[in-house]
Amino acid sequence: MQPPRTEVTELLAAISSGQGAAAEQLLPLVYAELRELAHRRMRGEGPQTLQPTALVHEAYLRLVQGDPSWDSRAHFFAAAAEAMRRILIERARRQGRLRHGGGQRRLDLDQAEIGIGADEQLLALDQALDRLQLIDARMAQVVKLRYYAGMSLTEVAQALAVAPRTVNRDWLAARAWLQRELSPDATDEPGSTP
Amino acid sequence: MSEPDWPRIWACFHAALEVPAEQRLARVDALEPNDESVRAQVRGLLRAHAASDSFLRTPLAEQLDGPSDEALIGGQIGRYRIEAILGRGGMGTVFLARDPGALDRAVALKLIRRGLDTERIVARFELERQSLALMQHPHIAAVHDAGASADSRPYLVMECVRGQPIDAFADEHRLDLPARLALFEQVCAGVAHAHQKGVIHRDLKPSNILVETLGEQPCVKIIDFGVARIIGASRDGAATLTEVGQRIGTPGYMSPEQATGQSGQTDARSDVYALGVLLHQLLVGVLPEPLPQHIDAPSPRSPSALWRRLEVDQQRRLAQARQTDPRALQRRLHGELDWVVLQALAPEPARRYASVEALQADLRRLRQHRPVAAAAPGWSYRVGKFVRRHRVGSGFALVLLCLLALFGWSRWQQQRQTAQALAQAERQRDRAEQVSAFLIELFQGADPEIQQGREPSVSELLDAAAQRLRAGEPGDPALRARLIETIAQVYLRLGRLSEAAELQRQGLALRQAELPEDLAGLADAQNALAIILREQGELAQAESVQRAALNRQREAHGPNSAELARSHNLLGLLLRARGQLDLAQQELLAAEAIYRTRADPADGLALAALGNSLAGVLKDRGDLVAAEQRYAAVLDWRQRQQPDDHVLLANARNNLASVRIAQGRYAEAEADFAAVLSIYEAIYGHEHPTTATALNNLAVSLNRQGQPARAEPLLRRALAIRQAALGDDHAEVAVARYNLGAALYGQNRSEEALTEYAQVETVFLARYGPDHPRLAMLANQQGQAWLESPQWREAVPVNARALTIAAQHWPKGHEVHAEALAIAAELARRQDDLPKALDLAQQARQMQANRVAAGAARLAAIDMVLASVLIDLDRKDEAEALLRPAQAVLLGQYGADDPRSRRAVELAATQTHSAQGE
Repeated sequence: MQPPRTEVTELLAAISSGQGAAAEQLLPLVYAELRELAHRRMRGEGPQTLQPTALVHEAYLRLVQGDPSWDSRAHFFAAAAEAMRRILIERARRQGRLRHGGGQRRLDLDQAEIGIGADEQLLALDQALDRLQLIDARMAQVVKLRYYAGMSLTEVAQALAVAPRTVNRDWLAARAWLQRELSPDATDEPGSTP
Repeated sequence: MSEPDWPRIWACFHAALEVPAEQRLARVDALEPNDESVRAQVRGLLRAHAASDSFLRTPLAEQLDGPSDEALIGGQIGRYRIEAILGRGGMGTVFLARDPGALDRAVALKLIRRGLDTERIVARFELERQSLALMQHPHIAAVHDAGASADSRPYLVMECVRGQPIDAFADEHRLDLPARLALFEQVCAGVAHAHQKGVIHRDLKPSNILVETLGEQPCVKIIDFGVARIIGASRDGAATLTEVGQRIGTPGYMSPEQATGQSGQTDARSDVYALGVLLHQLLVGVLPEPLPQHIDAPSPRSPSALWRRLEVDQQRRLAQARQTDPRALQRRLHGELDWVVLQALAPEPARRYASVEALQADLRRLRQHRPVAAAAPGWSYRVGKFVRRHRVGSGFALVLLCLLALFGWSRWQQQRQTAQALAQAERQRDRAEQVSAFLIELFQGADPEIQQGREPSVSELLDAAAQRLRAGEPGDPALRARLIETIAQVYLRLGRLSEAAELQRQGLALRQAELPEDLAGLADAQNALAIILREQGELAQAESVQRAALNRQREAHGPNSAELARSHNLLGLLLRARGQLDLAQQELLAAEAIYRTRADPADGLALAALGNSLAGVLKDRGDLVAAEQRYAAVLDWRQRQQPDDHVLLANARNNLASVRIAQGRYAEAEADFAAVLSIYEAIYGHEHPTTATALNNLAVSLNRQGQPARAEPLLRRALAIRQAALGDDHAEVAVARYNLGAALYGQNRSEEALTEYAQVETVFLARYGPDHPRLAMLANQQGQAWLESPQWREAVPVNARALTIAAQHWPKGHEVHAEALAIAAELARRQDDLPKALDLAQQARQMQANRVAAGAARLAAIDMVLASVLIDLDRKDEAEALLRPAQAVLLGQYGADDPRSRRAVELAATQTHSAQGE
């Protein structure tokens, strides 16, 4: 039996029984595993794409033994989404550097999109998500699972053990909220017509 | 601001999503009728929802997927040989490719990212192929071909453009405004051509508008024409093409009808809107303000107004990139460029330029220094827009002049409907003909220009009319005088005061020379001149003219006439403005007596106006109870009689709130002023002097509540508006500056405050003479500010001035007088004359205590002075009794930064310290 498996399963059990500190220990383990999987794929071992859902599921199979409760399943996916978020942001940054530093003579087609810089956009989204977390933690979680871990509505509903309808409502509201947060100067006009 | 009530907001948001898009706002209003903050949040979220179609839809990993684009270099897509990557964007990757066909030319190949419907895109291209082929224009990059790559990704092949986005190009080359406008005209030419061929761009933005340099000449190339239509899978506009973050750059370019998903309404005017955004960006350097939430909301802020709100550093940087300085740029934007941009940016398509050609025509007029067709925004919607120095379309000018002439004519007829009916009728017909002849000639004079396709502005027509009148046309002196006075009134309302005064004087001279028997006409003319002079701030002259008018009115209409009463009222207002409160009150009471005797119900409006005048004088005199009663009576009367006149109601509310300020009921006043401000903004817009008044008043209520940092920006806005409208040396400008000084003082920035006060003093002295009560108020402010500085002795002469003026105006005591005494006490204390200091401080305290309740901040400030004197006299127990409560009041009222609060805290600290030492 491989040590990380036990460790992750035990950590999940610990989180489920209310030991908050265990969550902090879980994340680096999941992160390391996902990173390793992603790297292997990019080196040409396995399919050439970064399908996060596939990665997460694979990591789940590798790290979690047995058939833990719904509760710990949700905790695992939360950690996995967080880990994927970090991995993808690193990757986006690397791509951004490649583009900006590359020797290619670049014409600025779609310059507005490129110009802002993928890092800054992702960073802005990231920060907005942190703020959303404070307002409604589940909404933020839905966004992480959908956008970073690439899960479908049904998968998110399973991971969070809530109805798909609820996930959909959270998803719509969270997107609108984030969209507004990320639009420049999206302040509301004061007052209404008298 | 308190944290939004999220559970309610989400509930309302989801409930709104259950109904069709066009019913959502109504649903929100129905669900949350009482809570504007919740409604505003939900409206904002709904707007974001409408624009968030594809936002976050594609998981991040899929967007990052496929580093293989690089691998395509050297390979082939369709028949095109891929040579290099030109760029990457939301739609996909753009390659430099070679078309090995007969032309063997370089092309740009846009490989669309995965996830879009390839077959449909290729099919749409086939549909669009014909109209795209029709577009052949030097400023449009042609779309040649479309197809699907080996791995089924759609691609488009376009003319290869090696250029830079227009905004970056303009900034990099530091193009000045004319050069920017010239580039923009090229853009318009290209878009207009495409529109003629039936192709709308739908996604115009700087990254799609590139500038190449051909030889020395910059040449605009618009790329992606028709592409939005081809690729837009589910909806129009850019929303379908972009992804998270990538949206961030350009949402502002989408027209409201696109942003709200009303794709059926997207037409050429949606491109006009995007062009408006582009023009704004090129001129100002930033995007226009986000769209208002309702289509009938007030128009967006004008470029020059937005400019004024930018940070100084940003202004400097942007102006440099335009080879000018911030002030010059603002002047250049103000007026016609503002209107052109706003007309293009009108939220409602029907109020925009109907076509790109119309926009081009205005740009051409602008270049040739001819008046533009665009009018000041929302002109017909806003009562007060009239009062601005604007050129407006000639159609309006014609209507205006005719109406005014007819108005003058009918009044003139009413006045003369008595004797000699037949002969009169003949003369009237004759005069009517002279009026129309005058108007016809006036417009014939402007005709050659109309023939050339330019519309004369109101100002030009007025100037032409004034010219003719000066030259002695029409022949009938009564008619000429009447027309002169009419034009003078129009000048007055347009804010062209010196022209108004000059013309009105001519009219008066004409009457005195040729119509001396028409006393009523003479009296009216003098009244009108006095009003103009008052607006100009020439108070002494205005007073003498007004007195003459009053005597004439008595001769013409008798001692019980409404005309005489009105003259008394006007004279009273003038005297109040000159600070002669006793005399002012006499005049106003005389007016009131006349109205009482007449007991004519038709005098209601005039009585309400008089009520305001009287209340104002009572307030200035410090009789706050009586002033409040008067203002409240006016408000009550207006609410009953004029419930729909929001302006007059707002005015009445403003007045009442100003008494609340004097009474120390600041929070109530703040709420009232905030309400008044939003009404004025809705009616007059953001840059009107009346709006500035509300800003100023709201700021005063904040100042008084110890929130000077919130007051400061409001005051700077008010100051800028007033400066622009009235010039630097107008009393109202000085008043805003005075309050700004107070806000600076409240933030412990006394040196800056003193600089402002010095400017105020110059204006006040010039406008009011040395004995006006406002100079006493100013002297107190200056005195207090000097007390904070090492040169506190400077406060001595200033304070002496305050005391003299105050004693003269308010022998029975007044807040201003009490404060002057308190400053004098502090000065005596610092000069070690403790008996005198004690005496003065006690006088000050008694005077203020008679006026306001214990606990008022202004009383507490005096208590502090008294306490510090008592401490110096070693009467520590008495000092202690004053000190603690006063310190609490000051901290609560003025905040911790205010010098008065700081002094209180220090004093209390030393007190504690010495107590421990004993």
